[in-house]
Amino acid sequence: MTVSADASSEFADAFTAHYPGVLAFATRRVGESDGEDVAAEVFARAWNAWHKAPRQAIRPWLFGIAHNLVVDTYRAKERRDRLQTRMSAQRPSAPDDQLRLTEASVDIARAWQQLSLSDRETLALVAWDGLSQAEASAVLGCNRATYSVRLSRARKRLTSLLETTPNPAPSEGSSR
Amino acid sequence: MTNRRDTDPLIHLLSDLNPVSKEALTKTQRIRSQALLQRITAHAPTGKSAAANAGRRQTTLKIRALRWAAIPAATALAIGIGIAIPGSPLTPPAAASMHSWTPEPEQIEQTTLAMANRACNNALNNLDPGWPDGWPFEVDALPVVADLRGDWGLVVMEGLLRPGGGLVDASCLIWFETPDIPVVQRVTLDSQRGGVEQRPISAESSPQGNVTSGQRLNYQLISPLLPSASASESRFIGAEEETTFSNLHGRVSDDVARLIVHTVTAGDVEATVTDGWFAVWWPGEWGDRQPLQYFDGTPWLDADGAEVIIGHQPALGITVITIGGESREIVLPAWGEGHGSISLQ
Repeated sequence: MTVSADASSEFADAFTAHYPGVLAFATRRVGESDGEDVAAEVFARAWNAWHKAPRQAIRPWLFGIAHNLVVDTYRAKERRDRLQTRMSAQRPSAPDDQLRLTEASVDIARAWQQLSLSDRETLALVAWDGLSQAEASAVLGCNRATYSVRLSRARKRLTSLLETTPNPAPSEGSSR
Repeated sequence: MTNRRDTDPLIHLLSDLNPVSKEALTKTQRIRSQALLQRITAHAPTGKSAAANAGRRQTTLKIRALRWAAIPAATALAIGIGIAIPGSPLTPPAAASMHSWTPEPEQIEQTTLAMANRACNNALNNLDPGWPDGWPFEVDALPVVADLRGDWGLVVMEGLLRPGGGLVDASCLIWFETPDIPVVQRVTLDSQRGGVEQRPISAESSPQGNVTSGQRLNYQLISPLLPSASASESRFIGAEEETTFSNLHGRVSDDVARLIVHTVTAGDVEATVTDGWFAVWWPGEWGDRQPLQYFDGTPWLDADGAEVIIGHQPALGITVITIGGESREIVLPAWGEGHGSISLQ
């Protein structure tokens, strides 16, 4: 298959615009060491299918490829366990990220760990990747209404977990 | 477009758990991404859908190879002279494996050399210099000398470039996963006699002219001992770390038995001398590091406008030992002192 100079230029523009986002998307899910590999594969696949790329919705299309690749790559149980661990372990640490976990965020981190991977992904698409519901539905390959239902359910389950998750005992030296 | 993060308190709270909150690339990531783009678009799309591809399991090796492959191509573009690519689907171990390097060369088996030759020719014929119309040449090259040290070896080749028929040298750095599996890490086409520099690569990547300092040094030595030699310092990304190696190769007269190069970074290194050719390589830089410049002294800037700092090539001492046992010290002058033609008197 040949490619026109315009298409090549278009792809280069899309690459420049979206590579950082795709890399961040992948890194959030598979960690730094594999994130770059996933991002590279995403764009290699995108190039091969560039003639079919939805020009008005490139970002969710690329994220969709990344999502499928991550799911495919990590389908094996041990991989899934690894992913699960990573997603829960990669909470921001105060010294590095200059973030301070509030009591609420500690609670939500605990609740997050109890969510299913599917719920986490549904929520992460809007909370971490900053996608609109329409974009998130494109990533997951469902229609917007379906995604909206999934999001609502995931949100409810998270809220429920937040209500039932006990507050952590104050650590020694705590000022509380 | 509504961003739920801004309106939903729960989602907003969740965003605090985001392990990667910023989408900015580091400088290294940016360089690698640019090389990746060149690598991807160097080949026409297959036309297979992303969805179909996504269902097919890809090995990590393949993905890693893409990243590995991307780096030298970008390096070659940045250099503007000499073109380098990897040519293998395998990724070497961490560059620390160059620890198997030894200051004295080892004998290379003919079968190993033959396999290395095939791998290097394959790499030479799939060069990815980033030209708009792709690599327009074919090369049939044969090894003239191979400098093997530990798991790594440098194969120097000579061949004809088609179309044009120019005689070219090529140097090919190989990591031997096993003696039967040569993995090309970097292949450089030496254009001093081949006319590749006449192609628009310079105009593409260095509108002010070819790079003159550091990185690549071609010169003719007016001496019966070393009628011509080519020296270079190259760097590439192996596994997760940047690796630099330096090499020197060229012709020697028939009465030369040994050459010992007194390097700045690797001590005394004995070259492989075979049939009127010599080759030697060592891990590390040639010398200290200085800004890369064009002929007119203008600093070479990277995409961020920062000066590109590369290894400087200072004077290098070489002990030449003849078949008769006589020895003689010669000095390869630092770049900038010889300007391509020097006299050893």
